[in-house]
Amino acid sequence: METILLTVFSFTLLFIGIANRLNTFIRMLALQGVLLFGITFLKLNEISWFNLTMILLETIIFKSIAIPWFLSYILHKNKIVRETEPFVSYFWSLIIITGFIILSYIISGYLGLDKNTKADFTVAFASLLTGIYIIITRKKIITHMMGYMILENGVFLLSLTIGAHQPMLVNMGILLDIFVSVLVLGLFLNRIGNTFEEMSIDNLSNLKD
Amino acid sequence: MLGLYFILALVVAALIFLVRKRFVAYASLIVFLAAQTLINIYAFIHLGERELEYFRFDHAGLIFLSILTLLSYYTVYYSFIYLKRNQDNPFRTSIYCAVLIMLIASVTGVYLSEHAGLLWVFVEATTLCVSLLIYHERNALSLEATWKYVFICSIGIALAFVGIIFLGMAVQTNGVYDLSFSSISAQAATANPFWMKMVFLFILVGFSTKMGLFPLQTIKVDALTVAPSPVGAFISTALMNAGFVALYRFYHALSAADIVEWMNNLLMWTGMLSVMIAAVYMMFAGNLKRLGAYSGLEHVGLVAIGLSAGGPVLYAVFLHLILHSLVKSGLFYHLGTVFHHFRTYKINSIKDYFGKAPGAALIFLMLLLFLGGIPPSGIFVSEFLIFKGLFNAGHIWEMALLLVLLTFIIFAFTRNALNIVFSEEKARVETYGKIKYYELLPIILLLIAVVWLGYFPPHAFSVFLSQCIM
Repeated sequence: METILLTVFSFTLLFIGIANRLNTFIRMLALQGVLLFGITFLKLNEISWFNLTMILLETIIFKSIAIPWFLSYILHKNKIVRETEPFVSYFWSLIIITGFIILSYIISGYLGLDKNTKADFTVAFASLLTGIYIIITRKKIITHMMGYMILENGVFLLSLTIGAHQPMLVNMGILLDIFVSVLVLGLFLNRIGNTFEEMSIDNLSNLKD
Repeated sequence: MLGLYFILALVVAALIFLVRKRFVAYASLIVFLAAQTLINIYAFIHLGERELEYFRFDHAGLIFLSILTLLSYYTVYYSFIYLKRNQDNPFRTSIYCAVLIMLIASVTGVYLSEHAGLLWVFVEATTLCVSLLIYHERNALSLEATWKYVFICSIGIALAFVGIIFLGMAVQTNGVYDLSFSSISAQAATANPFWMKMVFLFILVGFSTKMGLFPLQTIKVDALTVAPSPVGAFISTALMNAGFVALYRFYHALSAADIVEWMNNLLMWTGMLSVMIAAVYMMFAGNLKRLGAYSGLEHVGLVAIGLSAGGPVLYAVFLHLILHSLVKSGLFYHLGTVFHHFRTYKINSIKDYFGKAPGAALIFLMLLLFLGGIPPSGIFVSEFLIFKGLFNAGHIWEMALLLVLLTFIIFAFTRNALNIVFSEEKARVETYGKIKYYELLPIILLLIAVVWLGYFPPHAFSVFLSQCIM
């Protein structure tokens, strides 16, 4: 069961690589939240109730409802529909993200993990790389934010792999999530939308020599 | 006591934020400074002891804590001047003061943490504080810098967090779930070296945002460009030291594993690339603050290279960081004065500083020469010791390359300095107001301290410093 969820998770990564409507991005992010909820539920049923509730709140309320809602609110407010031409074509994005998954699998081979953790690690690490890749190759600030969310999902998944023994690390991951989302989304994305007309990184190149 | 200190910082910051009166903000800052001094003295009395389970007063943390306390006095003093000049509304002033207090407290937390997770939490807290402080002037430029800072710093701390998770996974195979540095150090030797390499790689990239080291150095430069000058002084020194302490703790803990050689190579070349980038950009820098920021990149590169040489060079590295903190903060405090006098940071628009304000211009010249490591600067001594260490460790070629790069940097520095101080004005350059003596005196004290600590270090200071590296 868990393997199925993980596989679906890696499919969402590939799908994000070729998505050009931003709504698709948001749906994929929400789906990732639900998948993370499922994985957590299967994996960590032996930890304390407090931590379990925290994690479930984080995955469902925060990752699947609050953030997607807020992102689509920004899209509507600024009337953005799709990503402009990315730096790398969609075809190559797909190939590269596939490459990330393979690379993560190869790395996990060096780490001496057991079978279950290996699958977790592969998907988590691929998600991390995909997030960074999306941030590098897309032009809109909001897509950067979504790339960061993917990266963050990867980090969360990674922290789950050792969450049974070190719940503190999982809680710290949640702290990071909430901290960044509130700070970045709440404070600045709003401001940037008001100050710069089109939310593209081309507007953010005044600081230079 | 440490718990009380953190609670006090929170309470005072909350008080400032709620009351929003200028008087309350200033008074609270002074109360907090007293608390900072007390905690510093307390830490010296309890040297080597643990507190609240996860904190420890060790030599390396304490030496930077003392620098932090000194710099907080300076930063508060110059912030008063800055805020008085700007005449912001009380709301902005109170946010500035409250956040400054939180920043000082979280940097203290970084210095004293003995637990990888806790250290990371404090580093995260500094990101929040710094982003609010560089947003202080609230124009399009500061918004751009703040966005970049917040976003890239978040990526950085997420990567550092991945490093910590890897660390957790690595020690877990031994059945240990404790992430305090002493425990990591004990476990590192038996852990899988590949894990340990991954840990260090992620930690280095992650904390490079705070240190201003090569892969993610750009945001620090941008942040320093728009930050109010007292804040700039603080983040280019105390926060950089915090990044260094964070990196050093991990380096120290992981060096029990069999990857020291690999870590050293990595540090050597990130450091070298930092110096290289600094040299290139400093040749073309058009903005005084950016010039200062790139000089920070150069010095942090030197620090990384020194760290990679290991052994006795660490003494020079610590000395270098301390002296650099004193000079660099002095430069940024003075840049506030320069800006007030000329209303610009553009190097080409500032001419004949010496003719307009001889005393201030001499101090400015001294600051730039001191940063370049030209005697009588104490930085000359620490750089010399780093080079000596590189020579002894057999890194001849690296040393030669570094010397060539430093020549470029010194050239860029002196050219700009002489240009600003002595060049004749072709078109008339407007100046505003007179430079007051109370803006200059504290900087002279810093410069004297640099010469003193570099050439005639008190015995107790040298002994304490050599205990840091054990």
